[in-house]
Amino acid sequence: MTPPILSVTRLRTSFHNDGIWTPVVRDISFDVAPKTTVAIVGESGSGKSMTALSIMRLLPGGNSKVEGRIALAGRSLLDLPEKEMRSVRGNEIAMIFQEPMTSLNPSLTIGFQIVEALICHRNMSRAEAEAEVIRLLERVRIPSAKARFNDYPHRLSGGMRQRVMIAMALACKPKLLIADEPTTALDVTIQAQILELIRDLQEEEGMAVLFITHDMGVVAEIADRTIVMLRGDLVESGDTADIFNNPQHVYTRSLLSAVPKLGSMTGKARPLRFPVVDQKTGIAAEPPAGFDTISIARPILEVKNLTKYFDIRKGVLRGLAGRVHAVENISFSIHRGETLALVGESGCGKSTTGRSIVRLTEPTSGSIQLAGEDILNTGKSSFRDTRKRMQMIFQDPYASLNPRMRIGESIAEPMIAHATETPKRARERVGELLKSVGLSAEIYDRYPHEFSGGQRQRICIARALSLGPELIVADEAVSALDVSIKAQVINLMLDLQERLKLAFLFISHDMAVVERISHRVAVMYLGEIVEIGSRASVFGNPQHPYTKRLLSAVPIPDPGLRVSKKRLVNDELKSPIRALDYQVPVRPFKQVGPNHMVQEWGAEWA
Amino acid sequence: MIEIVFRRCIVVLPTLLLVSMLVFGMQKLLPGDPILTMAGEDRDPETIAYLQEKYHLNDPIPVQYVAWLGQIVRGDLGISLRTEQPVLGLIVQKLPVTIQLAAFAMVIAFVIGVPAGIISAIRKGTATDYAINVVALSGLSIPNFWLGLMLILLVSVQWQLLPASGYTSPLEDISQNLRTMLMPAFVLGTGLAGVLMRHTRSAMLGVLRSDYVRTARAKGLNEKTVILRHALKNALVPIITLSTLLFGELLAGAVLTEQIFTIPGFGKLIVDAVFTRDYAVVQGVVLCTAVGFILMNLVADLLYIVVNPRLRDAA
Repeated sequence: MTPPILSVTRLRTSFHNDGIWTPVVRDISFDVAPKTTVAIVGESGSGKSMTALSIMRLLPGGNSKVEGRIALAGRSLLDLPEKEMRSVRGNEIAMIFQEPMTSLNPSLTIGFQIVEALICHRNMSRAEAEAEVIRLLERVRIPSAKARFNDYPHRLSGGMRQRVMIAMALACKPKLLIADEPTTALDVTIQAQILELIRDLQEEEGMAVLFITHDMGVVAEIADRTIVMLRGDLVESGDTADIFNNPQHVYTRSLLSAVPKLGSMTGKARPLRFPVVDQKTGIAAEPPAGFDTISIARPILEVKNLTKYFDIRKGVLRGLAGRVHAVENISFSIHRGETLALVGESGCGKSTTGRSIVRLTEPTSGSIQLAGEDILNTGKSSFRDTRKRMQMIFQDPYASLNPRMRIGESIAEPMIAHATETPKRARERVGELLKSVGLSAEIYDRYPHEFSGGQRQRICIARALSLGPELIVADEAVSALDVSIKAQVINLMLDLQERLKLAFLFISHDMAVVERISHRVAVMYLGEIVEIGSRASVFGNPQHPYTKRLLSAVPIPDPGLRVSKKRLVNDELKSPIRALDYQVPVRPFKQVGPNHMVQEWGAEWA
Repeated sequence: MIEIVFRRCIVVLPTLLLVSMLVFGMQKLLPGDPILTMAGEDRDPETIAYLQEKYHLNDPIPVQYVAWLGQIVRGDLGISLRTEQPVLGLIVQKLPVTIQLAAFAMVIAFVIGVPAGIISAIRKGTATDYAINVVALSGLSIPNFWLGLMLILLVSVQWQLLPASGYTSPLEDISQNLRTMLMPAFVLGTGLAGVLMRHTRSAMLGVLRSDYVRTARAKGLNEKTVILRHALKNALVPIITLSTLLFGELLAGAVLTEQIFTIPGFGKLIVDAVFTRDYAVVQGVVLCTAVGFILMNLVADLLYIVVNPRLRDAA
């Protein structure tokens, strides 16, 4: 057996806080063999990123402490003087990070930022380094690499920036690449491209990869071995296939059962709750079958020909130079008790659609009717009444609660603002609402920072429910949550739907979650709905090439089914910025099934 | 790039016009009639009428304004009511002195403030950090005039190292000029150094936490490169903003400092003019200061573009 490239023994990382050392990584040991990929998987606070930073010795000095042994090809890293450690960083071990948008220096050109690494470790002249960088940029498949060399990072999309980060990491041909959630911030089709790129480059270079992620789908896709971490402890490690097929630890089992698996809903007509794993036995209880919640009366929401353009102004006189066609002539409806999912990637207009419906942004044209009532042409005061009937839940539960307001006050505020309840009665209502979202009524007087992300999202849901709405627009409402919390919040939303006959407009980029929760699905691309139909039909029989591409890019949490063996298209997401004289092409819909429409597509998809 | 410069310059024009109106209006609203001052003790009505006619004070105010503006644009800031010299001449004579003092003080403030801010950010929470903060806070809280007087006592009277007051033009004797300027510039600069240090520190602390600094470290760069190349440039934006604001502080400080060290600069000109209600001079000085301020902001706007490549595209 070949000796491991990286050998971590009893690694313990602690932080100094209020006079005591609190370990965030507790005595974990693992090896990374040459040319293999090891994934560390865990939820927030599991210590997975801390492990990576400990290996790189990038934790802030002073209030952090790393103990144990970390050996790179036999050499102990923790004993190296800082100067020698610098020649390891970027040279023998390279690292890429989660946030491509902020991980590159905004005031230096991308070319220079890679050149720097080469000059630092390889003693190259500037000219040699520049030539090498252009080769590297081409290797990470950046189109017209030479022209891109002198661009600043803000000119590049997230996916392109992550490619630059990878080029930078590969510059000195490291033995080990540490990738810390490298695809989490990216769209699913871009994620698939980056994963494929990392895998290809790994084969070509023969390097080992330590891949840190929270996404079981990504793990199944890329890792040879898997390490599962929970609150600083290593709870299970082994061959990836074994971990998925035969998980030993309770936590691994509950993690796997909470992972939405694309395709798991085949043959099921209605949305389905996630199975709840018993924390003691580790046995997943079968979720109760979904009830029929949809009422067939007149739809609660009818959107017709909704269009929203944003103007782009340029030049000395700020003349109109173009328009962002954020939402382009879309129509759909939602019945009471029904969930319509709006899916698509960044910039496809799904959030603008949601915001237009609750009139947080004024649509350019089109009509929106709530229970038959036109809400776009009503005055301010009567619209206030309409607002009670539809509410919104946002993506980031940390940012959408006022940190200076007690959570009870936050929930009561809509009722008091609309004078639907007296302050005294509102307080009682808050208690009931908190209970209905699975929290205790006693937390009324506490502040948002005392709660976890999942609890805060429950609080936001309670606030949205406080006016007894009929429609809730949930804009990426579970995207920022950990897998197990995500499953709980979705179960809660399904419970509430069953009980209150709520209609949801569920805006999401996560196909697997959408498959679980929705009755019908609308796929958006460049501002247009390209395909709409029942969930079973759209997922089971996708027609539009974009829908197909979107579905094929989703990593499946099953190591037996590695999707991206097939070559992916190396496309950037297109932008809906159009010239002023842009003629919107007329693309008729055709009926594919009883409840399934698809837009006819142009030659660009051929 | 040229387009941005052009646009910024265009934006300056209405600002200048507004400033000119305020300056002109201010003089009209001020209590005290300069004609009465000029007419002397006996206030002979004929003299007053003659003077009012001479200075067009009987015309409607908009007409006066337009006439005044026309003069300004031609570079004629009027005649000092007190000395009967052209105001422009007075300003041209005094301004370079103050500019030298201000520039000198600014250099001192930067040389002390920015490195101190960087060091205290890097050494956050250590004894060095505390020491720098204490010194900066004292620099902020000690009034200029007190520090000036103490320095004169110590350096000039006790040690007899530098002259206590006076001014020599750099064209006459550059070393004597520097000797006379050193103390006032130091007094003026140290107060600002404290402000600069605090802001550099907080800007650097923010940048040092950023993801791209972590990337730079993960690349294996040495700490000096990380700080100077990756962190400092990005921390400069708030420092540039601050520097333009400090320019105003600098002028206000110069008034006092010039009095203490008896330097014949702008500050002294303002004080003298205000006390004698020499409106033409006050007007000229205020206008000059305002224009200086606006130009400083223009320079800052352009510097932002140099420092922050995103702004080059944003326009």
